[in-house]
Amino acid sequence: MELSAFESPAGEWLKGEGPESDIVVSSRIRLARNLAGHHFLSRASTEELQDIESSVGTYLREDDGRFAGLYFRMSELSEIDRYVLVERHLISREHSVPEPGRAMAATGDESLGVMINEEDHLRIQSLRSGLQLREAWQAIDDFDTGLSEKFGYAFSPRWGYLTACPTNVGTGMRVSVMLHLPALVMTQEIEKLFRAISKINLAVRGLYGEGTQAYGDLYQVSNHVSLGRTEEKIIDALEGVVTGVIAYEHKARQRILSTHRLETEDRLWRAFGMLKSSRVLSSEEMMHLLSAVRLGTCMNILPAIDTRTLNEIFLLTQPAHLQKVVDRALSPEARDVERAVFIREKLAAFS
Amino acid sequence: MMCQRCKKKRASVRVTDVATKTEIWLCEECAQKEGVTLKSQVSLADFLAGLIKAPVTKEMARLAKLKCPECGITYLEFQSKGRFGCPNDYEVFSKLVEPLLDKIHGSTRHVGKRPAGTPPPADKGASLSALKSALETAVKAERYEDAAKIRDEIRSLKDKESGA
Ligand SMILES: [Zn+2]
Repeated sequence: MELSAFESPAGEWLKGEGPESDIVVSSRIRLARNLAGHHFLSRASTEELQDIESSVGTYLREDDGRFAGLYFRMSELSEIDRYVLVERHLISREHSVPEPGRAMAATGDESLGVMINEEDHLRIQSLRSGLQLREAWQAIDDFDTGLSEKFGYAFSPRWGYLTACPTNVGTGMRVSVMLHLPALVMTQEIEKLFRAISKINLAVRGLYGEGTQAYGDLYQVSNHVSLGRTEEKIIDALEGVVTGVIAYEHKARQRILSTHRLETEDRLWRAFGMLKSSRVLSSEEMMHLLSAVRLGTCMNILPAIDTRTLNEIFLLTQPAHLQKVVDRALSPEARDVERAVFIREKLAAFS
Repeated sequence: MMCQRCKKKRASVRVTDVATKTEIWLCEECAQKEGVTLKSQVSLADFLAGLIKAPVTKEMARLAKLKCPECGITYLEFQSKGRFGCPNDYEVFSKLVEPLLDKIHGSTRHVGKRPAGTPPPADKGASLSALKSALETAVKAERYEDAAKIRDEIRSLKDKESGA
């Protein structure tokens, strides 16, 4: 698999455009669907799963056509390639295990994606950069309707779309928004925010399953109730909360500037200096520094580095991507060196 | 916030036991140790297994031994894995599934999108739980006139049910 197969080196969610993009990285909607007349994954035979993969795959590549460029069977990809897809959020970590019948498809701009035979037969997702839940919904709604006409879903008027796990039944929908909240982390208000959000039945978590931290002050807010509410209501509720969080983060940014201007400027410039001149840089440290630099450019304290450059640094220095960029396998130590080299080159023009 | 288990790493996962309504914040490492498998999307599925309590009444014990004729799964097997074997299982185990759905979602009725070609719901989807959630939304949005109307609908639905 070549990285050039992706239309944009940073993909839809890292474009850094769209409403509220100084805080909202991306909006994502996922639908869980199963095909009528088949067992769920745990009870389906290998043959049955491969049949599903082959007929859905043919539909996506040939009938729909938008997925012709990016369609992969997990069993046919190298480990690094599978991790590239995980790092791009096109597949889950679980899906990267190359079991029979597992495949993924995405449009060239990565705004629509499908996992075939993950936990359900189909997990389809729609991505937009910035806060664009309605646009994401519209795109996935149409795509989903097309699929249902072609294949016929396991659906009950009573319980909705039937899923392998009852936590997803009903709409089968998970809506999540990824937010960059460095000021709320600095002012230590993030904890309060988490508590408030969890009281209203939404979940908050860090960026990746990988590693151990909420990397780079990035948080995902999502619904976990999928039954008994319409898709529109679920989206409205989440959007309402996210709008509140954005206002909260804006206020925190203003407050740290008005009360601790010099310290803030010093901290952000130091992060910029370290990011620009380090010789060895772990992924974790990079995320930490990049978060500060992103904040610094948003607050007009640091030079105006375009979001695309920041996003490319973010994505292309993840372990699997970095190995694709240098085109060889790297030990973790060698990765930390190559990561620093890559970032120095990217940021050389900015001072 | 720091992980409430190891107290060393930053917490990023909220783990809720739906049954006891208690919650703790964990770092991803500790969450994994707790048996929560992390996904790129939050999923409560993997620790759901722990929430599905053993059936209590004799009737439920009998139901738990039921086998789905389509896929052969029993409710006990579903309990241990947290995953159904086929779409038919919702119907086969409906008496056990409904209370579970209510615990997870606070509702037992779908009110959203329907696949192309599905006939519209006969009762116009006016189930009690859907109305309750609509009421909640209306109150939150301070749409009090709507809220009053929904409250009336709920009342008439409840009257009908108790009359039947
Ligand atoms: Zn079954």
